[in-house]
Amino acid sequence: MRIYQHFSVVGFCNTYLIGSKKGSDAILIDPGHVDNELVHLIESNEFKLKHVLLTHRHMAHTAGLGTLAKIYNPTIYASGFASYEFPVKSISDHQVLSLCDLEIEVIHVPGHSLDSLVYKIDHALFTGDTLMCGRVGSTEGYREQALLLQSIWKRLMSLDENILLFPGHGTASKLRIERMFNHQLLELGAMAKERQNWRYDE
Amino acid sequence: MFNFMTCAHPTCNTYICGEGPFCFRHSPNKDELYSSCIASLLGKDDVLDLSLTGGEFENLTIPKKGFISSNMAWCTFRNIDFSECTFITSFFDFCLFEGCRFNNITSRYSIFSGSKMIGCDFSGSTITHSNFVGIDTLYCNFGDCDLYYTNFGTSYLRDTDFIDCNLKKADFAHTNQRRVSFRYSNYSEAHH
Repeated sequence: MRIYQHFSVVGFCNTYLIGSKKGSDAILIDPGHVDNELVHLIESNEFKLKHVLLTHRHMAHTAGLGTLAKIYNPTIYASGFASYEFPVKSISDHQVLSLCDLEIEVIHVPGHSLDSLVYKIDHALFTGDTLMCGRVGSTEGYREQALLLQSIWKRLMSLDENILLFPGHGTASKLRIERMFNHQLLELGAMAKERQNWRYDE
Repeated sequence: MFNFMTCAHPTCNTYICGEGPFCFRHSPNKDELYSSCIASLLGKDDVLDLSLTGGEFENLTIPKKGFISSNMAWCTFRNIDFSECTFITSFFDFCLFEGCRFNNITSRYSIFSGSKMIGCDFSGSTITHSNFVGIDTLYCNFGDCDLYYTNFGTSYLRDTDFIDCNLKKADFAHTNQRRVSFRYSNYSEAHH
């Protein structure tokens, strides 16, 4: 499997281009912004871009959809919890997609947004804005934050710690690194637990 | 990307080395794998999709080359000269770097997280979008580096210089710093 990372200066989002080999069909995750560099990445590898996976519906991750649809007309996959102005194939938690000779496991990790999905392809995890290097995604309030932390611990941190992490913003990482050094995850996790205890005390 | 198959040893989850089915530590052909790794480090071609974890390397001068989609986590590097090399989406997490030179390197989307660095020189390098979270440095020099969007969060920094660096969108949150200099750098533009 080949994974290419592209940094979009609009929204500072990471876009990932994945194909099994040069000249094969390819998948794009989160087209934040389509520029010459991204098109060159697709064309220089002779990839046939067939599918686009969206982690969630935020502009920084979806703004390039219109341009991509015009050039490559890919099939777009996204959570059923959001609606789009493009025809989208709705996917949900625990679903396994077979695209471009790759098996893609869909993991629902709500909290940053209700429609947040994480894609697991082999030993690579594309986490969007749920879990990032050294921090967790932003949330609208304490309840959403507690939901996000709970989802991360339950659905992501239970996976093998050698798994590679490719987030929607910032640098790549590994689950072990986040487990050891993600200050926000460790600190907020303890705080959320404390808040839960207060509720039980009441 | 390097092979994601994990070691056939019953208690090991490390990625395999070479054709497998074992990781470097559990491989019966350790010497052969090590020599082939040294050959690819010292050869002219880029190091592509290599995975060797837990190896020990000493006194090497790596010629100008790329490390692409490779995994050398948990390795020990003593007196290795990586100057002028390019690192793209490569994993050097939880390594020990002692007396290594990384002058004028280009690092993009690479991971050095959790590593211990003693007496290492990164001066003059372009290190963007790279992960240095949780590193432990002693007498290291990042002078004159472009560290755009590079994350040093939760690191333990001692006697380390970040003089005249670009720190825009760099991250120094929750770092423990003693005798660290950010002279002539835009530290205020970093997250800390």
